[in-house]
Amino acid sequence: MTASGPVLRIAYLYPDLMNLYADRGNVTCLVQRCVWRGITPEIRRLEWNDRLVEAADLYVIGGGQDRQQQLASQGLTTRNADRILSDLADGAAMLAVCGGYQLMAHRYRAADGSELPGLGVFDAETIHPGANVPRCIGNVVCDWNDSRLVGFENHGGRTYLGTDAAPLARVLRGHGNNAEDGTEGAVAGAAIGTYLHGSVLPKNPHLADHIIRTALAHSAPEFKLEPLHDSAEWAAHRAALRVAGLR
Amino acid sequence: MPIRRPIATLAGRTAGALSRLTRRGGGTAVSGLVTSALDPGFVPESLRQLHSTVTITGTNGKTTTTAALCALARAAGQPVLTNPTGSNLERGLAAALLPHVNWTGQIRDAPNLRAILELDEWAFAALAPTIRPRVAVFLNLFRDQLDRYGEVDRTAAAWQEAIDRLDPDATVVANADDPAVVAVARNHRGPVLFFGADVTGSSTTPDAWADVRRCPLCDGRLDWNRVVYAHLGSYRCLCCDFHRPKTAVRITDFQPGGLTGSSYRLITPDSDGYIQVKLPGLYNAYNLAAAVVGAQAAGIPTANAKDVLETFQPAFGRAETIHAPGTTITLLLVKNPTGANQTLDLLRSEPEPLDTLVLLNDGVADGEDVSWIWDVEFERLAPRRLQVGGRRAEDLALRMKYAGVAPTVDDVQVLPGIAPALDAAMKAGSTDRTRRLIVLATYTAMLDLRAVCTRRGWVAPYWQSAA
Repeated sequence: MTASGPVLRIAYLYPDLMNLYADRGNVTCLVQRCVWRGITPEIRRLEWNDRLVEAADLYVIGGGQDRQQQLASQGLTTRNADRILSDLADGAAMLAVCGGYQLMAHRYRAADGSELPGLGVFDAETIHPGANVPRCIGNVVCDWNDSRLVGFENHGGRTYLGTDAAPLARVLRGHGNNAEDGTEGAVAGAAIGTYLHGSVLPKNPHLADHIIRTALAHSAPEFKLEPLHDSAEWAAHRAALRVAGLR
Repeated sequence: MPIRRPIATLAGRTAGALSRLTRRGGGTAVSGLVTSALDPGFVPESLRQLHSTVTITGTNGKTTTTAALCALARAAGQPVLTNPTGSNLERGLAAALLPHVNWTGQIRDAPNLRAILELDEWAFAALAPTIRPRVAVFLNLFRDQLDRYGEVDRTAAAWQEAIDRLDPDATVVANADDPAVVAVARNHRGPVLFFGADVTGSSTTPDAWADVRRCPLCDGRLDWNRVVYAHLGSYRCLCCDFHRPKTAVRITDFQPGGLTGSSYRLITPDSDGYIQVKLPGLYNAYNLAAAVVGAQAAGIPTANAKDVLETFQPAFGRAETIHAPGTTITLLLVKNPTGANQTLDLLRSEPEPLDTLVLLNDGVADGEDVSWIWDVEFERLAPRRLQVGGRRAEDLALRMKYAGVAPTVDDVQVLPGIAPALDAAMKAGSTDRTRRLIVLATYTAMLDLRAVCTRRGWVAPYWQSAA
């Protein structure tokens, strides 16, 4: 396990505000899967007041409560929009989960009617139908390329994709973006948004590696990802399928 | 008395008896469920006959604090009505009341009887306006089963509404070290008594899984001069005048004693001394401090609190010792990141690595979302041997792999059942002369494991242990 491989610059956006459902597990997973392959992950944690100066190969943001989401929206749009959007235009990758996903679309209209501006990475908007409408909560399984993604969702907002947005996956079990059109998440270039929160990457190692691969395509295109011994990952993946009533 | 009351209580008693007869459980939930469904006024109207009601709510420590408060009251010769099994929804209160109620709905000796009740965070918010507690204790507010409770800010908002409707002469008892609790408790129209821990934390920033980082009043930056754990500590806002309030009861000089106890100095308005208790961890020191303030607020004499607390035994499943043939099991309930991380700290304070069994279920009472295990710092766990089990054993094994707990993931045995996992964990060390096994279990896994131990004759059922 020599660190002879490339460096992967990960910008971890607002971990203090946006880690509601243990989304930091995704960072733990990305870091380990890089280290196991000799890639050196360099993590920069962005605090609320910070301004990103250096470029990143991969942006990660998790979910948060409404209030924290408000602060994150301010920090993103007033201080860091240019850096993030120009890196993404250069081909940097992104994983935006739940509340973070909502903030990467055009806007989020909260339960109280207030509107939070997003970065517009995804052509989508999110509307919270009000505190009295049931949240979308439960296990999720969806079709992704020729495989499946498993996870758990818990969101009040309903996300509707615009004509320029492609869904990440198709819902087999659960609600996904809005519980209406069967879509889950969004993809724009190398950016991925999803409602599968918390530990989405550990039990979807193919998604984790897809994200590392697209991030490296930006910084070290010649580097090849070796496969890892993923029996524990797939066992947890199968357990999530079983819980959702699928094999 | 509503005409339906005798029917409701009879139906509840019958359901409870059937539950016990068929060995489905202690009948603690079902009897109350039936009664309160048939007669919604049963709980508040029964409680209003009593001398007074003390409620205990918060994310962690409800069962232990309630039990300690009951012990203080009983030691002072005061009769108590309580819900000792952790059944803390309305049905649990109804079940606790049923044995005291006659067929006309009257409670014997009601004017002398005091109710000391633990309440689920949302059950408190819903019930407090009708049961009108004389004393309301708030322990802490952490993320817990978000799929069931929702966001922590929403729970705080629900508490605020309930506190605004408390009687002005009711006393609120609250944890001074928890900014989320203080932010709502301080608005009570009547007296507010705070408890806290003056202990030196190792950090001045909240833990990664903490739920409060900014001022609950103005969103300004909170400045901690010490963090005890999670977001508990001593803090002040840099933008407004919000800060940790003065405490009526405080803990200082805390000395950990591993899994079997701890000692510290407990300072109250009318006492100051060192106590050595059988409850491990700083989190239990908070619970006992809360019980002492709660007792004082309720007018329960606490002159002999030291003796009561020093002999007080942990509640079932809370660092409970179970003697199995050849093996001493320590059973620790873990149900959310803060509690689990505190428990891992306890294990680290043990002199030697221990055989450890971790059980993860995803029932409604555990939280169907198992994401929270990624907020548990299993990186700190250094077991001698590790076994995982429960309905989501595979998720635990994966978490252990990324935590680097076992040298390779093949060293973690995955057994989804409870009994097979226990057997494997006990067999693994069967050649040792003195065996200890640490079991960390989520709520239903803890009950399941206790049921296995009960069937084998190693421990009494929980509804008897708790009584």
